[in-house]
Amino acid sequence: MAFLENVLLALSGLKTSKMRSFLTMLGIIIGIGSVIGIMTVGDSVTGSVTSMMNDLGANNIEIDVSEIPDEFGNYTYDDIPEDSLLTDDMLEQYQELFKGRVRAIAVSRGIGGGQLTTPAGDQRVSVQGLNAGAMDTTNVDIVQGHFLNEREVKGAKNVIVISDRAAEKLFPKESPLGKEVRYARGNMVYTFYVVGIYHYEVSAMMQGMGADVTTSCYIPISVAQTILDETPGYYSWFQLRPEDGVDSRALMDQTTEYFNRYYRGNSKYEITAYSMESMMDQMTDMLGTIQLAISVIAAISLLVGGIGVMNIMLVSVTERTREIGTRKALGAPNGAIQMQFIVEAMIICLIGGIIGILLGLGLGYGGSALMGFPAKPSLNAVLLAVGFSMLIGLFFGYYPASKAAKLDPIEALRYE
Amino acid sequence: MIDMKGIIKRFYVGEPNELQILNGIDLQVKEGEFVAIVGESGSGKSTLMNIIGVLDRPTEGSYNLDGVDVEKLKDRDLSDIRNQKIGFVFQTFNLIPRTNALRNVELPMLYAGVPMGQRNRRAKELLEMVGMQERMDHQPSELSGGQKQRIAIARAMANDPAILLADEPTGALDSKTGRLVMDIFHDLHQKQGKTIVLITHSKELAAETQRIVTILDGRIIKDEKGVEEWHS
Repeated sequence: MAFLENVLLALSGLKTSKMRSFLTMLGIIIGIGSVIGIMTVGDSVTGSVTSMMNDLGANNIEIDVSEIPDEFGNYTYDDIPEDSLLTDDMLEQYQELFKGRVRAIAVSRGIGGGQLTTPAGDQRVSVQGLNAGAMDTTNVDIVQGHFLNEREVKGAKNVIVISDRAAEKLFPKESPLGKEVRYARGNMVYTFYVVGIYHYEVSAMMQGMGADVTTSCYIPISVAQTILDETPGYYSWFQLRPEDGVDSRALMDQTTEYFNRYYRGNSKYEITAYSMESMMDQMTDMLGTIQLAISVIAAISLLVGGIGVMNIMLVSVTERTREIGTRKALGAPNGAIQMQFIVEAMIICLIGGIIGILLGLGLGYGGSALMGFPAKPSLNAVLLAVGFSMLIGLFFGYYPASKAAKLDPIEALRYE
Repeated sequence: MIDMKGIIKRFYVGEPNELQILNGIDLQVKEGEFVAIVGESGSGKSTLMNIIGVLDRPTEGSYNLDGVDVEKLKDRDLSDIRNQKIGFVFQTFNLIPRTNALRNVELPMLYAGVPMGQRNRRAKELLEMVGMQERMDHQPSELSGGQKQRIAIARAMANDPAILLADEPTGALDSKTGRLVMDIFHDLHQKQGKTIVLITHSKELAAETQRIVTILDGRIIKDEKGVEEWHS
């Protein structure tokens, strides 16, 4: 018997008992809906976080001078004394030795928020002291002028790199390059010369918050440390960017080992390292666990839904015993009867699956919007859901269909 | 057409409540004959009909239908025989519910693998033959008993079977519509030369046929000639 006939027959059967069909589908709808929903939200979160972290430099490795806790596991959180800090010399030697594996070393020191002022206007910014190597670790996109260079950092020049956003406010009519800006911090005022403008990319997450953003601006780290009353050239941490194709995990271990030689006799401090990559791994792991947990719940729902389908198909076979007998008398082979009921079960599950997908996409879009991420529906999940719901129909429809096919035509015709 | 020798049917074989329903039936029906099988309820006529219609197999004996020895056939082949050689008409019509008249008539052709266009044409012809062309879009629930039975006859004729097998076809109808249905059978017999086996307990209906076979306790006790040709 033609497949299409079975489909039409099943559809007309479903139409005559809409409520029953819907209730039967409910388990499938909820199961598929929750899988698609969580996949969509999960993928959009992972996608956004990954791209955000990539912007920040996912390959970067951070090396810290960390306090060793005492025997009870307590930390003092004291300021690290200068003799336990990393110095410019150490970093230079390291960079020389690891040439070819390390592309750039970045040190930074934030000095917090403040106000930039020009005759044309003012703008709140957060100021960071950086070295020239930070250009390579932070993915700064210079659109005018240049980034802080070696000479400016070493010479502790009063130069500044500002964002295009800040530039619009501070220099609405003229090119900012070479112009003066005043930076007020506490009751001190410093003067900087603009040497570069970078393009400020509004991240999806920030956009979601919709606030007037405070962009960063960059000054030489030596200047920042002077402003903070610290001795320039001493650092408690730095970032490094490996050359492309370098195994960052191995480099991380070698670097830790290298710097820890300086701390061999130091009982209070040591060198530790971590990478954005490892943080991202942890985060993806966590998301994966959540997705798995919800998938398990969804699988249970699908199982229950499938049993519901089987139950209703058994009822349907019993109700239609006489019809089955008639069909057999008219020459339907057992295979055709079996096919008819399997197709019917699959249609129920497929329709349930499609409603579930729509519901899930709705939930996914809603959930993503609530969390401020762009929704990213997963085509694979949708295809998988369609296939899986039909498989449920096949699996749970098989037994009732076989039962129908095996009915004795005489008994079936006599059935009241 | 039908050649039965020594047909015995037992139920619950080998169990304490073993029951022998047919005790050696010999029956030959020639092509184009209109035969009535009469008997009280419990006489075994329904069991005989099931065996004639290859819905059931005899326990013993041989059955040759239209040149085919049924005994040796597999279930799948029996389905084909029911589909191609036999047209069933039931007392309770047994139309497929929620399926309109046209599709009901098409059903045997669907199982036979007849292409859709051809199926449709033939079904419309058959409905016209039984005077139901106006109702082809109606569901069984929208039709009267007589209308349903006419559609069931059209359906039985779908694959142009060798034998029409009618089990109390007027049993659920009033005398007027029953008459109409019987006239269709006579028509099919006289104009199309169909072989018809009519199972009934009504002496009057049986008297309209060419040959009356009476069954009692699983045996043929009388096999008499009926009317040469029925004129209503």
